[in-house]
Amino acid sequence: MSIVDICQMLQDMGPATSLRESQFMFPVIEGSHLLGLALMMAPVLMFDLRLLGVLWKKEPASEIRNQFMPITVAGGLLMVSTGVLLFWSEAVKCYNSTYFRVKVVMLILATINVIIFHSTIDRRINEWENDSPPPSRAKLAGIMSILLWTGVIFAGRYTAYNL
Amino acid sequence: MDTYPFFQWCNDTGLGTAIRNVTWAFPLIETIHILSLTVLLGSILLMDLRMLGIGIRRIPVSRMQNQLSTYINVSLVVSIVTGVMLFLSEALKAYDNLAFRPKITLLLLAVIFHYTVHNKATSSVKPGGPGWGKVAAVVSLFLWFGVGAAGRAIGFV
Repeated sequence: MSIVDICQMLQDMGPATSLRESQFMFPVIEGSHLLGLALMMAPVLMFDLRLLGVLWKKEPASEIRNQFMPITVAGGLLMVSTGVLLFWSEAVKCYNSTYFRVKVVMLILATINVIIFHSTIDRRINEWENDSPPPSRAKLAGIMSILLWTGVIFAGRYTAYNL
Repeated sequence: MDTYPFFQWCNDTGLGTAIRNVTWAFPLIETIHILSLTVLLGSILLMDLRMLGIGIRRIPVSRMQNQLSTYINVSLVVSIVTGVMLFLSEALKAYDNLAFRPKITLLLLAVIFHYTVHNKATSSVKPGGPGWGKVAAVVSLFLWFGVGAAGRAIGFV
């Protein structure tokens, strides 16, 4: 069974079909996926700008992380749950979309960036969080985050255009 | 008042025609529109959550405004410029679209509310904002999410 067969099987399932054909639910879930971006990404951007030493210079980095991260997690849960539903309903279209593949790769890279940051320099945040400018490893994590998440959003929007 | 000639004129502008005739232009402009509104909506959302005491509690409201206002102003300008470009390219579609006028109305209300009542609330010297700040935050959330929802609806109705 190839990947495309699995995608076809997924989107032929009852809930996926009803969602795809629904006049109301599909736009609502897609709209929530779009608005969830604001909830998830604005706090990420703020923390990235803190890591770059652009914003929140007076606050220790851990303070910005601790205040903003719960909002990102809430937004992330909304993005993943609505994203899974959207994929389920249009799995074959996604499989055939180059932009969707680019999005998945970008998403994996962005997640790796998060994991590397939190398992390395973030563990020693108390040692550098008041340094101005922040250490280059922190700046690198911030700039990678901004670039990769922007890429995810670009590829995600382009998936819907069928270009 | 018959607004159709105005929409027709917009549709016929050189810029509108150019965007309509270049395949990659509309998706690119719309994606920039979405990126900028992510920053715009998200930054306002963060201030509203702060005033409501959800998630962010230790950063004073006025500090949030101090740090976020430039990002809000710039992303609003980018959203409007890209939004006008998108509108020019399909002004006649917008004329017939049931969601377009509600979106513009909500947008005007949201912008006016933001630069008057909302700014006054987030300028407060109290760390959590004034007593009525929570009401302002809820109104702000409803207005901006209304703009977002009506905007998304333009593509579906």
